[in-house]
Amino acid sequence: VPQTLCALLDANIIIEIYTHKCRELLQSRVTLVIPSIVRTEARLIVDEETNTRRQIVLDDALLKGSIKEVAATTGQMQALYARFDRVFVERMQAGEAEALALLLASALPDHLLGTADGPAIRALSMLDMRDSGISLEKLLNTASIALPRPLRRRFTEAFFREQAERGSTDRITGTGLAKPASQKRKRGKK
Amino acid sequence: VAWRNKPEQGTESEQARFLELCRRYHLIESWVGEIQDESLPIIRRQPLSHSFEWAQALAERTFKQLNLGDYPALSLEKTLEEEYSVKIFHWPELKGSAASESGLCIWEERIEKLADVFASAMLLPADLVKKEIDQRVRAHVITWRDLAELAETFAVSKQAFVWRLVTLKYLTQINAQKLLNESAFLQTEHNTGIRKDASIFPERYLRLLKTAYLRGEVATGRVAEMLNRTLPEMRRELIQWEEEEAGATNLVRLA
Repeated sequence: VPQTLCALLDANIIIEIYTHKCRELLQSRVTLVIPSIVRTEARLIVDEETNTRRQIVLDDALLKGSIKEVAATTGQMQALYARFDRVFVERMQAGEAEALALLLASALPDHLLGTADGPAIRALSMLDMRDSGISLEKLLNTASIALPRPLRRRFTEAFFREQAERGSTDRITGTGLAKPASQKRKRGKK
Repeated sequence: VAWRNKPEQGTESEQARFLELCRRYHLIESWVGEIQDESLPIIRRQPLSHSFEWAQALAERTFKQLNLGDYPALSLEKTLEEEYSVKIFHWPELKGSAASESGLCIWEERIEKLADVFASAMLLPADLVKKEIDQRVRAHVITWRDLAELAETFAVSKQAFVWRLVTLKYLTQINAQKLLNESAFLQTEHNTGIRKDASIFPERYLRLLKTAYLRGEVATGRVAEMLNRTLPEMRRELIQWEEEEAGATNLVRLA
């Protein structure tokens, strides 16, 4: 597996990776990166076998450098939010918005956003960055990791493609995108 | 926010919490496209200038307009939520209080009385109550059990039901008061108006949020935030929602 694959992960994917206990194997094969907000979003998991809470040791991994942390600037976040309407912005989680902001600013070339959330996947297509996203299923396949249990549907490639298609349609129809300034002015005049 | 009875402490924080919940509820509605255009009738004139007969007539018109069926109290909340996008929250800690985000309402004694007449006439429509009473009356008397059962059937308190019988001229005020002073009569009270579940989130709020999640309309973390929980805490519940949904598209062959 080429070490060049860099995956920028949202909180959902982090939690899933820890739940399936495949983080170490994955990080040995892929460069894992998290937006700074995800560090606070994914702090613990509930162990399903024992029904106990377990701390996600992201801090240790970050200290050792096995997972990298990146942060978007306020300007980068604003540039992202300016591309969508208010209702769409509210659909997204802060951590994945930070990841999208970094990708939009071309601050992380060759990184792929690993997400299982419809709005984030749609946003990639709406920003014409569909190829900058990856499902957990595809990420694990690329890293040649097979799990003993099947993934939940929203972590599959099928769900990712479905949402990406929706995003492509939204891009054409303008659904969820911020109205151009000229249209806003016209509406104001009415 | 217009308060009926302001809590003694923490009004500002309660108001902020209430408005934030309304904002979240509206967002969830917009995520799944469930915003209704219908709006409730607005009373333009100051209610203080109106009579009790006016309140009663308004209740009768509203009852018909909302199409509340034979037992209005059972369908009122659902109708307001589903048809008019009214956001209703039950907060056990604000017992006896009520607050409204929209509409200019000043709670005064006179308005309380008008509101009582309105509520009584709408939740206990004259024709329906008369029909039920007449079926149970034998030689001008009716049992306590029948009255208690009817109050329960109409999903109102016994007090409310008894006072409605006064306005419908089945009981005199004196007899009504005597009856309500009987502790044995009130002991079988079932309808306290307090919901058994302690969740502050209305059923519709939860249903729409679940729909938004299953359709991929909202990030998982946002679902957790909308329920004041963390993402890991929600995981098991979300899996349950997904499992329910997995079977939802199965087809059944009909004869």
